[in-house]
Amino acid sequence: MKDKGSSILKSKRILVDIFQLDDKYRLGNSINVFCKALNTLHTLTIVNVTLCRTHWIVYLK
Amino acid sequence: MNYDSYIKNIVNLVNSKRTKATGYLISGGSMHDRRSLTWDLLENIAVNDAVEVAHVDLHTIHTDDLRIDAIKRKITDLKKSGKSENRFLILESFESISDEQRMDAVLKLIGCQNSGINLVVSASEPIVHLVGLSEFMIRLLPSEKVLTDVYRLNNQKVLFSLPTVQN
Repeated sequence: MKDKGSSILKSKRILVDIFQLDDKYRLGNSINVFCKALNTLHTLTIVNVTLCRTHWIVYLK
Repeated sequence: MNYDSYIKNIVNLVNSKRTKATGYLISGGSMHDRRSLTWDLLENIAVNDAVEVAHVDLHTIHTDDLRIDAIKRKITDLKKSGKSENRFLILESFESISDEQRMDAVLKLIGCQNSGINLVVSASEPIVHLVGLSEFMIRLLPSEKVLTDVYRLNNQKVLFSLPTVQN
């Protein structure tokens, strides 16, 4: 199985379904991403949200 | 920079030619501040004949159904107008739509942007859905020394700002 955490860390973005976006994705909120390969926990901050067809793209920094 | 040239800068930004419709989010500060800024923008954007503007103050409408109805009606009006570019839907106090109905309104706004209508929305806080639809954020009182600034979301940079203390 592909490691979801490391792919988020690599792309610095999360895809969210159009109806699933809620207040936990508001600007400045931090999101914890666990990278299995490195066994590390990363805290990323939400900097932007855009819409792409049927998904919101949440950008992290 | 004084207030008038600040407003002028925003209006130039808003009226610049774009390939795709975009969004502007006005957030922060007090309701009175947001309202007066929105009105100043409204007056200055609408001076040009080539520009079509529809304005809804959601705070003055009492139920969610009526609010969404009003948005729908304005979008239909804008679509009917022959001008294909520089159409603006200006919404005030988006936060007055309740959480349950928010998605309905957001879907209307997505449809509106897809048909080439630009959005200018004011809300007390940067609601995620509105951030998703906006390219620029006009922030009121982002920090102690800054009265208001224009922030570009995709590169996290401030384009221009107005300091609290005028020299």
